[in-house]
Amino acid sequence: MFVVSALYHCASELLSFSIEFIDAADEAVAAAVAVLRWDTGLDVALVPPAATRADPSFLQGALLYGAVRFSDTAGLRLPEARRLGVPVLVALQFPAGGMVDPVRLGLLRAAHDPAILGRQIVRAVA
Amino acid sequence: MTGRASGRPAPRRTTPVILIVGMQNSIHLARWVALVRGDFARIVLLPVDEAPLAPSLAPWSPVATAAELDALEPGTVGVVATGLAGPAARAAAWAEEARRGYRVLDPIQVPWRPAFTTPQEMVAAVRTFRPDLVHTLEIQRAGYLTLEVKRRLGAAMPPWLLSNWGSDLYLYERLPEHRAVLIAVMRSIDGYLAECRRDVALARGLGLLGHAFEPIHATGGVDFGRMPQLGALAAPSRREAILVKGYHGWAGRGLHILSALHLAAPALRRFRIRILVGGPAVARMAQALADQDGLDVAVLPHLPNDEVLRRVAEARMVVGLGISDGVSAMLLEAMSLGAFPIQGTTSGAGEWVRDGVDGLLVCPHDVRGLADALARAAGDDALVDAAAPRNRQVVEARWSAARNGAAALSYYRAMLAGAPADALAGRARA
Repeated sequence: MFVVSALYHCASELLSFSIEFIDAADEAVAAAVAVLRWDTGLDVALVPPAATRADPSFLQGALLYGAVRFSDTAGLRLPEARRLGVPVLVALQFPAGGMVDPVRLGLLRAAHDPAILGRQIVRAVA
Repeated sequence: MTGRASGRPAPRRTTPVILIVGMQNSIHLARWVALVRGDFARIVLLPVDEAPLAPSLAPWSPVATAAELDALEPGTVGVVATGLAGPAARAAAWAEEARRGYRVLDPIQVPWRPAFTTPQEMVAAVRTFRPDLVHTLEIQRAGYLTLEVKRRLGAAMPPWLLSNWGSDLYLYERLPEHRAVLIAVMRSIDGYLAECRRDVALARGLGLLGHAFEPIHATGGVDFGRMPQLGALAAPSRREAILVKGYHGWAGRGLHILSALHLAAPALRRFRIRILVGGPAVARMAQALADQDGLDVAVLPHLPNDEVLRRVAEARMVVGLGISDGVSAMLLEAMSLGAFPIQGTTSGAGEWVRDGVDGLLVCPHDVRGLADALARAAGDDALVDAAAPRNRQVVEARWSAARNGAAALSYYRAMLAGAPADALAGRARA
């Protein structure tokens, strides 16, 4: 939901991109993505988990893999992104011990402010 | 108006029958029924599933025939007993619906189950009780069901009044699969009762052909004689509590509110922040705010309504935010009890408060903006104190059960008067 809100802040700059939400089966997320699409005209969709689960290279060709998490990166496709050379933008709201590094600290505000996160997303894909 | 098949001449009813279709366990539905029950009409309730009835619907009695309905005391609600008891009967009924090609379009996070009332059950209820008016409260469950029933009954369908709740139009009209059904609903109803003008405009945009009544809040109203006067409460500027609606899901953005609390923490440390309706993720984040930001913040357990009102009366501000809402009861309760409201621009709150004067309205995706609003309301004593008497005046005028009850009955009379006279005379009691 936080990433959805961030996209509202930078929609006009991302109209030429295709955006896919993955690893989210929640109907609430699906509804949020559908409303985002309706409201902004973004080419955005939720990819059903079944389409990505068995594909270890789903991120191939992506310009960015991004997420906002509460405290850690468990379950994220970071090894896949590294292997495929996909840039990563992961903001942690309350980084757990051992998760604090200069990059994470630089994204602390973005983890709570969708407007800042939106600017980070645009900067990452520009 | 929809015409009805004429039958043998029958004694004209002295008391109209109104079939209300809706979520029988909802306090909103119970409050509406409380508004209109009495001598004016016999109220028959068709539940949308098998969930227990809201306790405040009492007195009520199950009815399976028109004679049983006629035998009820005035003010006692008849609740349709459809006769489908047990899983096997329900499974068979739904198998028949599937054979007819009927498909349920689920609301978000409300998957179909056999306990849902079938269209054929409602058809049977209409044929049994011969209502003079059908009133559906809420669209995705009750409204969609009634749309299918109207398709089956055709000219035999009574006049249909539809009321919607919070997100029924505002959110769902932006979901393509639902939008198509909403268009069909709007073109099928004879009367429409919203709780805000925003939804009237949306309904017209979806092709509303029937009459749109002046909006009434979905709960009807309250008895202000039983609400404490503002003079008996502490001035908002002297209150040290903040109340937050913590629901985070398909509409609510409770976690966004908590991020805003984090951003505004320095301005909020003197307050007792309490969160209503928060799930595990909200509780986890609240704990982080307490541990790392030094905020006095906690999630409250489920509270009875009178306890919630007590908390509202102690709050300097009440905060609710989501991507979609109507006019929340919590907003009106805050306005009644002096708590400064901070709400989303995606709700109908803007029809009750002036942004920056009587409350603060924030885009649900603007967490920084919400943080600024929290800090402003926390520090501006003049703002919150000046808003309180104005807000109380507004709700006393527009959220009064007595005033809105009279309006509701006038709407029912208007709907009943709109039906062709010969159609009413042609109805025979079962």
